[in-house]
Amino acid sequence: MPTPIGMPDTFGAVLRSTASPTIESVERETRSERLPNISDAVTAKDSEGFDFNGRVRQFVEVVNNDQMDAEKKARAFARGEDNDLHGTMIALQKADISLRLISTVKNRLIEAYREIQRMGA
Amino acid sequence: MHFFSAMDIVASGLNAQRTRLNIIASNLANARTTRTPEGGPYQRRDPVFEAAPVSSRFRELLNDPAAQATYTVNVAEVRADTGPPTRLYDPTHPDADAEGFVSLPNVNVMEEMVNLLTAQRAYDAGITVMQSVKGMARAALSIGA
Repeated sequence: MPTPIGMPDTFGAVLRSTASPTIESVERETRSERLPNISDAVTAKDSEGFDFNGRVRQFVEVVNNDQMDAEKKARAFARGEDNDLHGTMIALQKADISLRLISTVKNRLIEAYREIQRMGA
Repeated sequence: MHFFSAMDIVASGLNAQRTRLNIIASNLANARTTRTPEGGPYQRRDPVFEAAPVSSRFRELLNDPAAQATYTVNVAEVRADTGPPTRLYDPTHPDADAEGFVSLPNVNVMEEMVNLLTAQRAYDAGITVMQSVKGMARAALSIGA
């Protein structure tokens, strides 16, 4: 269709771009906008090198160690091998506080996640 | 987890006071003991406490000035009081010496009772600190709730 004099050939450009795509053009597009790989996201660090997953794992390990330590001390005390009463009580207290802390952190994280989900709705 | 270093310090204090309590109990029980495995009358025992740096699992605590300035308490040794024994004249006593004097331990019961009171108060003070630490930790966990 002949364009008026001086106007850019916009209609022709639109026609050319909506032509049936070839395989190469499809590949070119998907390569540039590839979805991130799930395993990359799991082990990714952000720009400052903060490894969230690693930190959470470390924290859970610390809490677990506290719990095991407290249980060991309580058992030894019940069996009469260890008569350090206040040491046992303090270990139990530490385990209690660690567990409460990690439970609170989990609750806050889930709350934040739900808040973000609500943003989309 | 800086609270845990406070708890460790308190625990060491409680241990030290309990050790002191045991020693006082030993002194009081043996206040009239004239025979010991080492020979001679029982000698009053006294604990020697020393300050030891806080040992922690977290390397970050080493950069904390409070962690570098606070100490746990260790029982360094239990020393025997080498003061002169109390001498009592009783020639019929099996442990009387040649002049008829029996050497009794240099344990002053009044002094031991006062030491017992201070040990108990120090133990109570440690427990009070523990309750405060626990309360503070619980309060911190309720931030934002």
